[in-house]
Amino acid sequence: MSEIAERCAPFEADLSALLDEQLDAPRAGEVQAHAASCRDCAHRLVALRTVNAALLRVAAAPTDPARIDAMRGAIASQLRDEARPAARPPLARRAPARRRHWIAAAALSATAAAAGALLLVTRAPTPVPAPASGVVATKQAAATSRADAEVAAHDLAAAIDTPIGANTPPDDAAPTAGQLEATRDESVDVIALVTNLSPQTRDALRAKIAALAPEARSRLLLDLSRRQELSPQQRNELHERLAQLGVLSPEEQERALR
Amino acid sequence: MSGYWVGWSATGGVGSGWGEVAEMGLHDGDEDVRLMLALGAGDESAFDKLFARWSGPLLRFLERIVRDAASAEELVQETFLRLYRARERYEPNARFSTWLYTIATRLALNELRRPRHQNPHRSTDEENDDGAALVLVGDVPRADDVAHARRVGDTVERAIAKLPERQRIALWLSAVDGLSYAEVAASLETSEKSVKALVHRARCTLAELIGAEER
Repeated sequence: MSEIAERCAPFEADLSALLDEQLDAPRAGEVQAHAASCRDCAHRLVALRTVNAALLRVAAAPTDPARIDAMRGAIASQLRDEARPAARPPLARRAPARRRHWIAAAALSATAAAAGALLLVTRAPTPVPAPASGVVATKQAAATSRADAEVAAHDLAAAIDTPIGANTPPDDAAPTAGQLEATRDESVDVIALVTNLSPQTRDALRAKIAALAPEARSRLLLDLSRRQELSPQQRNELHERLAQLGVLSPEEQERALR
Repeated sequence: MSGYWVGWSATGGVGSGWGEVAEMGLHDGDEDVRLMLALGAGDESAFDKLFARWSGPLLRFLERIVRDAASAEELVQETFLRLYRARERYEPNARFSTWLYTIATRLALNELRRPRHQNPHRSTDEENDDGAALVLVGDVPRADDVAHARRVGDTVERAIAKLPERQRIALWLSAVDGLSYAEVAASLETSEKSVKALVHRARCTLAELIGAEER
């Protein structure tokens, strides 16, 4: 290290802190004194100060008010949705027959998943008007009310709690550990897409799903993706996502899409 | 300055505490804190005021971190939803902005972990394949010298995009939003020393990138 570099090294890391006013007074004085006597550090300080000015210019660009309004509207809508179930009778007494049928299926799936029996069970899709796609599809997918979805989520959580057999048979199509790790958050999206859950319920389910055995988790998700309430387009989207995550093999995806 | 932790959970709640509250001091003189306390007491109009004050800065921050205008908007919404849900548990143990940015930072880091952000062309640690600047919906060019400002702005945006995500967060929170290193450390769940290094490295890299583009 040259003599100059050695002299500057103790001050180098403090140049930014000086600009950010994060040094105590004695140290700030030392760094300033050094910069005043060192051309290299003085130039360095100017360059770093220029960065700050550039950042502030970028940050000063105004935001389109229409975007702010749209975000505010979306928040208001979400809060209205969240307020609704609380004003209604206890959810457990109101689950419609169709929903109860699915709850039973979900519980069955979690249990049967342990035995590896449900992997390729397919159901004929019920024709439902297909929504647009992507996020829009997610939002429009709520063919049932949020309250009903919360009931389903509650029972899904109970289904997930069903003891998983220790001797789950091996599966050639089982995803890798890395893929399953990536699946954890995606799985919540899958369930959110299926049941249009509130964020709180989603978080609770995320924890439960994370605790599942990998095989049980992948099969549960697979079964969820085949729910009768989904439109063909939604099912396709889910299957594609599950395939991308390694939860569904290409062959399984092809069979599921039939 | 010593470290403290933010009692914040994935469900958006404010936990039992900020450590070393006495050292940090109460911040109930802060206008934002006053609004937050009013919201907790049932004044719903306070939420609108907080949103009007902070949605813009938060959006600009999140756009630079997640590099996607739509994702940034969703994260702003989620941040404010969590703020709203925590309104009755909120305690003014730190500056409001620190609390808000901590929520947003953690949401952004979670978002960046998601598979759709793992595309190498959008990696937070790698260069963009084409070096193209993020097109931010709603950015309005300056009126005085539109072409020049646009060019400089694009250069800076490209340079910011090339920074590793934690450097980007640390620098923006410190240089633009004025958080102290201790506050940034709380948001990133790291030490002040690390934040100091992150900020300095980020600033040096930006100086080089911006200088190189302008030469």
